[in-house]
Amino acid sequence: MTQSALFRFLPLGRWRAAIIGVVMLAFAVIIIFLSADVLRQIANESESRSDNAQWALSQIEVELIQFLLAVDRAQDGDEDLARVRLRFDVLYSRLQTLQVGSVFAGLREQPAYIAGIDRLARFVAEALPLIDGPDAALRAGLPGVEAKAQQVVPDARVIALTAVEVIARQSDQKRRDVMRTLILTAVVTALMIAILIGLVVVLTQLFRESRRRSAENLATLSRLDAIVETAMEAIITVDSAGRIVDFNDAASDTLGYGHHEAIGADMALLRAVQAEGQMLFRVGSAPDFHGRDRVRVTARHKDGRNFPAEMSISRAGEGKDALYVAFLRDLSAQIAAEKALIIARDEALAGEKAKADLLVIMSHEIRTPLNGMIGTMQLLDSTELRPHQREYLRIMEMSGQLLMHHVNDVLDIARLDSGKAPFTLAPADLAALVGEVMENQRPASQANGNGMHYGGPADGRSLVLCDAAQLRQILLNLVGNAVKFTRNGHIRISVTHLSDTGPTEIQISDTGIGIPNADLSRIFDDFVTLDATYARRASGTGLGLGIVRRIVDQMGGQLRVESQEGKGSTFRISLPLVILGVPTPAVVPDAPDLAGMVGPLVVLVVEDNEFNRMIVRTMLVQDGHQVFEARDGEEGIALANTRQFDLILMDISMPRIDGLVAARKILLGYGASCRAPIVAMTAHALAEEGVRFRNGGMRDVLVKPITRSMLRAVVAGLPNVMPKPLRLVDKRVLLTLVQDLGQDRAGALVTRFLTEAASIVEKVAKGLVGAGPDHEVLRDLHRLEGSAAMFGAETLQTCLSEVETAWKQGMADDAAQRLTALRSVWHNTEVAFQEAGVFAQPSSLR
Amino acid sequence: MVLFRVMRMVAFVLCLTGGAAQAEAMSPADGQVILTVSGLDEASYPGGMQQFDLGMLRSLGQVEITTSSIWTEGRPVFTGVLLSELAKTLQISGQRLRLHALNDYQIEFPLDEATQEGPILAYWMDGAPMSVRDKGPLWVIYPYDAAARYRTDTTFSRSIWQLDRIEVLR
Repeated sequence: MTQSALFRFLPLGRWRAAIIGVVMLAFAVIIIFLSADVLRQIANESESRSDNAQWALSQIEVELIQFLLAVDRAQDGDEDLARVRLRFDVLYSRLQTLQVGSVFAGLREQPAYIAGIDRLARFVAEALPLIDGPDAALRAGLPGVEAKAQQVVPDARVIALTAVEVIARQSDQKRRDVMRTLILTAVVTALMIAILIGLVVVLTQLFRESRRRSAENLATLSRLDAIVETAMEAIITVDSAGRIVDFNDAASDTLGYGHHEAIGADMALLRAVQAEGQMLFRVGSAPDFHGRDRVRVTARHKDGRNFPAEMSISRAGEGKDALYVAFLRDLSAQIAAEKALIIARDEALAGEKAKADLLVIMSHEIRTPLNGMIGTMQLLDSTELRPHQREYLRIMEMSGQLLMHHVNDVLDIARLDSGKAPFTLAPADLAALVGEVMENQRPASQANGNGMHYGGPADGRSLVLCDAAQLRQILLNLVGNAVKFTRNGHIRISVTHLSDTGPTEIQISDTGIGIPNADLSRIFDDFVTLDATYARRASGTGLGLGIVRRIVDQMGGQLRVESQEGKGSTFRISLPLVILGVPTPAVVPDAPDLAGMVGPLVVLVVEDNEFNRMIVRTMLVQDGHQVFEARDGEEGIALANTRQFDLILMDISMPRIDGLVAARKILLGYGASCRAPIVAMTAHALAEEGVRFRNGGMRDVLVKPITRSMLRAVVAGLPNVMPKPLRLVDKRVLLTLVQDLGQDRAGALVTRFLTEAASIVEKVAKGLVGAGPDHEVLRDLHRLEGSAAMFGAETLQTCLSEVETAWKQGMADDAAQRLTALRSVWHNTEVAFQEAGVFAQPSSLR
Repeated sequence: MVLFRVMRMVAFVLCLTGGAAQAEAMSPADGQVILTVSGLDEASYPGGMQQFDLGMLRSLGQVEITTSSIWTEGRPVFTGVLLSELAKTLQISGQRLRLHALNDYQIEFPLDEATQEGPILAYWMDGAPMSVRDKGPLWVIYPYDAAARYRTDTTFSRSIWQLDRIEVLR
């Protein structure tokens, strides 16, 4: 749509219209003035000022000559004097007219005229007395008069001639003036007409333009109409008073009102209610909500049914002329679908969760008896057996291991799929890792007559940031596969960095039986094993590569395989690992021969499962340690508090009091074993669990199934010097006191100490309830601590000191826990003092 | 010009009392004849002529016109008899008149254009008779100041002074 230039140039804004108006007005005024001028001049002309001045002026010569004639005739006797007098009078009156008449005013400025008139006047004046005198005098003077008259005749002529010129000029000037005015008027009129014509042209253009626009508008309108009518959403147009102006077919369908019913009705018809129960429309007013995004409302169909809908309203125009356009969409179907989807999703999620839970629980349930079997088999292995029994045992062990392997695989997959397999990135030496794996697989490899080689990165930077456990698993699976499927061949593992910043590529290639092309894509699927010559010997669940794939995916890497049947296969993993550099050569301590290195320990085994407990006990006993057993947490705590153990093995998942709680109670209980190392035993291998255990005070974590070597490693890892256990009473302190002060004095002091301490402990125990550190309580504690130190009540002192520290550090929970032990600590201390027999007087023991 | 109208009324009354509506010739003038009207009906007027002296004209009418003119200074008061009145007295109407002056000027005049407003045959100027030198004895005067139509060339040309003869044309 192009606007004509004219239309743009003449927008008829207020300013332009004003200017044009003023101009037109000016023209009109000019024309009026000019016309008035012309009229005035014409009027001037219509009244004469001249009275045929020429006639009058030429008459003076005539009348002078007439006078002369009369005078002449009178002298001849042909005329009487009356006639002379008459002619003189006529001349006289004519002259007077020339002197006085207003029409001759202009002439009276001409010097020639004035001169002529003057001479005539002089003649008349001279002749006057004679004319008015007696006849006789007159007759006698006639010749003289005649002569004088003759003299002035030329003057009379001059007068007339002068006038001719002047009058001609005057009338010419007048004519010119009139002409000028007329021409001016004509020009101005012509200009006005031109402008008017111009305006007419402009108007015509505007008219055409407006017609064209109107046509365009019509076209647009009909287009819009078509759009609105065929729209699938209900479109309702409402005016500022809330009346429905437009109602398309879709609206009729959605709301059930016919077109004719809706038009003109108030839009409260829609009964649209917003989510919070607010009515959007009130009768007789425009919608007070518009311009915002789609809003969910409840609308009502004509048949009274409410249905959920989505509505958006926008406004066109301003004020009273505003129109509101509302789009309405029936959401019933959508909402129903949403609900169904949500239900399905929840069901699916629940199903997934159930599956995951099932897997975890089942694998735990399966592993526990498996542990039992494997453990027992190990025990059996260390007994006297006959060769065939040993063979049976070997088979059993192998089966057990395999079964455990399968269960672990399934658990891994479940873990990876559930997404609960977080990485713990730590620096790891890839070379060492590969070395471990190779070492692990060496027996099987040698058994198959294979050789294994490793090649690391050229620059020696094999230290990377990765999750070693996951990576180990990948390597184990892939190298294991390679070993399985190769006979008398060669297996090569190489690690290379594809660029300075990675990624790192690990390549495992073998010269085995290879994988048929058709199966290359299948092998990473779950439960896929290929029927091959060595299938039976190369057993597997078919999950190995699936696990590898999952771990690689999780690490953000890529997994590729190339293979030629009969020639071999190459598996390539590229992982985006952070390359840390060259590993510092670690001092790898020789794995000590653990048996018999550490002296016999007194060990407490807390385990609710009878078999597991039995196995662990047997292993320990066989290594020469003394073992005490507790069947649950409570028993464990009780035993730990009464006896001093060198090591406590705590099972985590126990009923009533689990291992963590029990451990904490022991550690903070100031019992006999409050300083003993506690090692957790658990079936769960999750890394975060390990962290939790360590935070709970566990020294280490053993993951079931527990093997003899694991136990040996734990024992070996104990510090050579155990932390000194706490004594209730340091007897030496007491002895020194007695020596210094004497038995009686010392005894009295001790008694007073015991009494004071008892009351303070009571007070503190009461003041504990709920509150935090009270100044008074703290002061009491501090004093008591001091006294305890003085009298050698070691455990008491330590307990109080640790409580104070805990409070100062803001670990209110910890402090509270320690304080709960205070009472029993005090009780034990009291008993100990009594047994020490330092004083003979009876104490205020309760 | 209230004065003018009043004067006219006076003139009219005087005319009535003067017994103007006679069909016969008036008695000859005993004073000096200043106007001769010729061309009249010979049955009513001997020789078709009637002469007037000042007194006779005065008895016919004393209409005053105060006006300026292009030949005079100021605004003199002219006193005279309406031409129409004279015509009525002489029982002439519809004809053309030829007016003659002492200075041999003459002009034709359609009688129809003589109205109650003018012209008058003025015999007095400012209450005194006019000598020939003053453009007397009779001067045809219009009320020039009253309207623009009295200031046309035609009117001026009919304002004949030193009038002495009126000829009624057939």
